[in-house]
Amino acid sequence: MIPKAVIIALDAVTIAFALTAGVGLLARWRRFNRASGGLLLALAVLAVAWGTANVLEWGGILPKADIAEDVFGPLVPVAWLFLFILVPEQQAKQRLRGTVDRLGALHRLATDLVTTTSPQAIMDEVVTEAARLLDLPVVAILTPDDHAGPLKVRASVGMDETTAESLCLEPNRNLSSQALGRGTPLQASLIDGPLPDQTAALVHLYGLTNAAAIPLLADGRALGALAAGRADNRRFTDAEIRLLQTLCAHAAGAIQNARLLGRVAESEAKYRAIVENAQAAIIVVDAYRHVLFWNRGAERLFGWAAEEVSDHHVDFIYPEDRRPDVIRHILPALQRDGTWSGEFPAVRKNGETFTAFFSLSRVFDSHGSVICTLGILSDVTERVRLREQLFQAQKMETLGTLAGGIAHDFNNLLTAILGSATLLRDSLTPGSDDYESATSIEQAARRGTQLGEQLMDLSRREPARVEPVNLNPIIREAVRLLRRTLPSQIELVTNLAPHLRSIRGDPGQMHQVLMNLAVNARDAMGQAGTLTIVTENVNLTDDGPFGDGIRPGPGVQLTLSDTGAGVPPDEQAHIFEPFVTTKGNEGGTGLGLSTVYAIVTRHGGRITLESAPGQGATFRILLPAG
Amino acid sequence: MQQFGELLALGLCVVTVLYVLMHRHVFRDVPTLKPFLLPFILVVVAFAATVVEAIPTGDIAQIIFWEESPAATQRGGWPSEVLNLLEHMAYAGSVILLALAIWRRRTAPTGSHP
Repeated sequence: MIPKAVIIALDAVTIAFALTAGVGLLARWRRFNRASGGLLLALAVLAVAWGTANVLEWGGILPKADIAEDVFGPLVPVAWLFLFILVPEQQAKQRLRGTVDRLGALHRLATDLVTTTSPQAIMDEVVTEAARLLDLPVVAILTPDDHAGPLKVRASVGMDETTAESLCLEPNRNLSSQALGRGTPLQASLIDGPLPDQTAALVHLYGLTNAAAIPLLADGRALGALAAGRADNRRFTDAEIRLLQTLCAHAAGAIQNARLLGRVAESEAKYRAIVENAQAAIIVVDAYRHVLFWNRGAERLFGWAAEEVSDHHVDFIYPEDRRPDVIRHILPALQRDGTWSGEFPAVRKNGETFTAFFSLSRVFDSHGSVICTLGILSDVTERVRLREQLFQAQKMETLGTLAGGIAHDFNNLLTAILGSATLLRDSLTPGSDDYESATSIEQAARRGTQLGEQLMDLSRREPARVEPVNLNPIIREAVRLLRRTLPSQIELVTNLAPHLRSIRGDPGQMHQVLMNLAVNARDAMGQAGTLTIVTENVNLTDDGPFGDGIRPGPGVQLTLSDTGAGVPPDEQAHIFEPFVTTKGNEGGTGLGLSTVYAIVTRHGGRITLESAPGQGATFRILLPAG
Repeated sequence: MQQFGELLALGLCVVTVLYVLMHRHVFRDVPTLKPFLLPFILVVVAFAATVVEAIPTGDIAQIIFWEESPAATQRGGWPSEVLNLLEHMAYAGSVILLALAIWRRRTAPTGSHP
């Protein structure tokens, strides 16, 4: 026989533990969700009721009516059934909510990381999300200053600013350094073993119990470590470590990308500054010749701002009448060779045409397709003018030397002819036919000698005589002479500077210059017109329209303008060459202007012609003051 | 209907056991439920003991429909007492384990964290 007391004692134990369970539930209610907590509480209450009923019945206080079995018994499995049905369902819902929350956070983080280019912003966001998702009191990202240097806090949550700034973890003496060195996540209890001083201070300050460190790996290289601490005496679960690893992988990739983007942006800014500030005009056009890039040099050269020409067809830089040449010559060459360089006319915003040197090259991608065409342009108008001037000078010098040499030989022959003609004439009877013939030979030989001397003048490099010369008296004398010889309908106007500087030169040659130009003007005007002679003091510069070779400094300008027929543009380039004349067969030797050119050049000066058909001609002579 | 309550409880326990067996994969995924399985088994044992105790005393029909059947008066003897003891012991054990499971719980059984 089993004593009733044993049964009653067992029931009392049931009541006691049921009460314990109930108290435990109420005391730790927050650790249970509502459904499971309620059902467990119901089970505890049923157990108390079951035990109490049994004690009362077995103790004889109540009649034996099996109340426990009949009344409370069926409710117990019902409560268990609901517990087993509801708890997994609730947990599945909670898990789903947690997963959605984490995925949402990861998605948000990934989106932010893609658009964020600041490594600091990325690290701040990662530590914030890690702390929020895992409910961690302290999370920080630590990186070394250099490869093996101590770790310093770059971003943190839950750590006060002073602590974060002062924290400097020595290599290999802490969890983060070890995780960084090994490249794998590590975790440790902060309660079990001795801790380094700094870590111990942190643990004490924030009441941490467990820590985990996850390396930030990008391309197999550890950039730093994420350190997380918790204060609830729990180890980090595998799922938590995996979540932190995912965050760290995102962060490391984003930091790496941000750094690369930073370097690319830096490099791009550097090259953009170089290109933008280049003196030359740099233009990039797409395959359809629409402007993609237009640097400041191009803005200066053409006068168009980049915004004004962006996406416009690049043909606007060429003069309208030369655009067909671009299509016929430049583009085929560019297509064939990939590059083209040369001089070509270009036009500014204000309509001014100038000569530009084009260096064009096509830019290809890795598949060999044309991405764009790069053009580097510079204004070479001045260079072209100087080159032509140099060419002209060289040509004149060569022709002068040649003419001088020939004239020298002819002079020798003419000297013999002249001497013989004089002797022959003296031996003949004046008035006879032979005498007249000998006289004609002598006169022709003298004219030939004069022509020879004129030719030899072209080859001289220095003035025959050098002395201070004021051009005004020479001009006045020449004008007096010209008034007697020029037709009366030709008006002579002078405008002479009162304090004209002197030049160093040959007064006779200067007189010859004036006379040659005046005679040319007369021939151009015919019987009527105006010849204007002007002198003035000027400052000579080597970058002016007269080009290089002239000595900068004080100088004198002599201008002779006529109202004659003018010189056609195609003849202007050759007007100073020997034997070039616009007078046809009417007596011009073609040596007048070439002599003028030779004399002016010999005096260190320059001469230019400005003329248009029907609008007269203006010769401008610049001479350095002496 | 002296044994109706026990029989009903046992029946519900069987239903619950079948549910657990059918959804055992769920219980594998919910580790926080595992500490509650043993208390539940002990409850099943307790109710099974109660019902088994009644079986030798009459047929099932009598147990169910006649509260004061002649068989009921024949209950007793050591098997009945052992089964009765087993019932109370199992129930007490179940409650003890339940209390332990509750007190040892660190987080909510549904787990709000991974």
